[in-house]
Amino acid sequence: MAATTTHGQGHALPAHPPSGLESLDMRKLGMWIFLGSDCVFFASLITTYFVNRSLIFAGDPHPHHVLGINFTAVLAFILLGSSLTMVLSLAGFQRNDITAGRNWLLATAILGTLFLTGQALEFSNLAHEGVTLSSGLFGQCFLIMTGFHGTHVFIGVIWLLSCWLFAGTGRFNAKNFMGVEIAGLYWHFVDLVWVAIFTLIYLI
Amino acid sequence: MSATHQATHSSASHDAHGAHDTHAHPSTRTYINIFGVLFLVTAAEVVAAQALPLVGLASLVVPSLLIMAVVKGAMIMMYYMHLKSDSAWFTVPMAFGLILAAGMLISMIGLFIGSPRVACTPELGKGCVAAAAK
Repeated sequence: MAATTTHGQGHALPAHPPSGLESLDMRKLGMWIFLGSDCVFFASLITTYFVNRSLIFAGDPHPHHVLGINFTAVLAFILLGSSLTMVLSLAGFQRNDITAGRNWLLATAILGTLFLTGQALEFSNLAHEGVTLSSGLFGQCFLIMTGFHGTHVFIGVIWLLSCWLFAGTGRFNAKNFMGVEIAGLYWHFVDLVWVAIFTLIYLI
Repeated sequence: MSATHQATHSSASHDAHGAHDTHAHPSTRTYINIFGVLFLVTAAEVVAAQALPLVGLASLVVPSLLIMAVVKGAMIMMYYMHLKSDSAWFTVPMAFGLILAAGMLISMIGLFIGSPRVACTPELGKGCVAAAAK
């Protein structure tokens, strides 16, 4: 007779662990598929900027004159730091240190909020320089691209705070941390997009 | 006697995914080291973007920045997003998205890079449309 494992409700399961696709957590795979599609979304926005780059750089104001590289570098460091706190949070839940997991989650959300505050300041300064959504090609391409990234960060902060609240009810622990891991994947992707935007738009 | 044993298969234990689709994740020390490298590479990017043109090496700015950005992105995906230790199946959708994204960026830039671009201002009027269509 084939070796079987009896399910808690009486269903027979194969004794050997599933392999290949069936062994994967479908929520995690779904998040990766979403992130793959989001790559194309952000690439389309970056492509629009680059296709119109010659016009943008010929216009007034010149992007390199109004974009503060040093200030944006600080924002990049903040987002990189939030990626570190995110993995430390996940590691905390994985070793069943719920307090550490929650504290690092909260730290990640705070760093995300700091980033959003910096981005709001940057948008405000740009508006003073005359760069708005209706001011021309540079304003449209730049603000829509960075604005969508900021929206992703905002959604991420809300998600992290939700995880923090749920973790307070004992929902996440060493046996159940998938919710935090999926939120972390999303958060790291937001960092990944900023790596691309910072290099391609601000530095080049 | 058949090799049969009781197993509780609640949703909570199903959430404990570590058994099949992942291997051990990096240690806390590794995470901190990776952050140190990411921090240094980002600082190097900022310095390179501003200093290389000043010393007559402006042609190196774009390739050096692209290489550093790719290194940063790869490190984030491999270590922080655990693609290095997780099942290779998770890499497939991300790789597909990245290839599509890079293909779109490169092909569109290649398509437009030699084309004259005309700003469509109200002053140009219909002339702008005609010029842009050429």
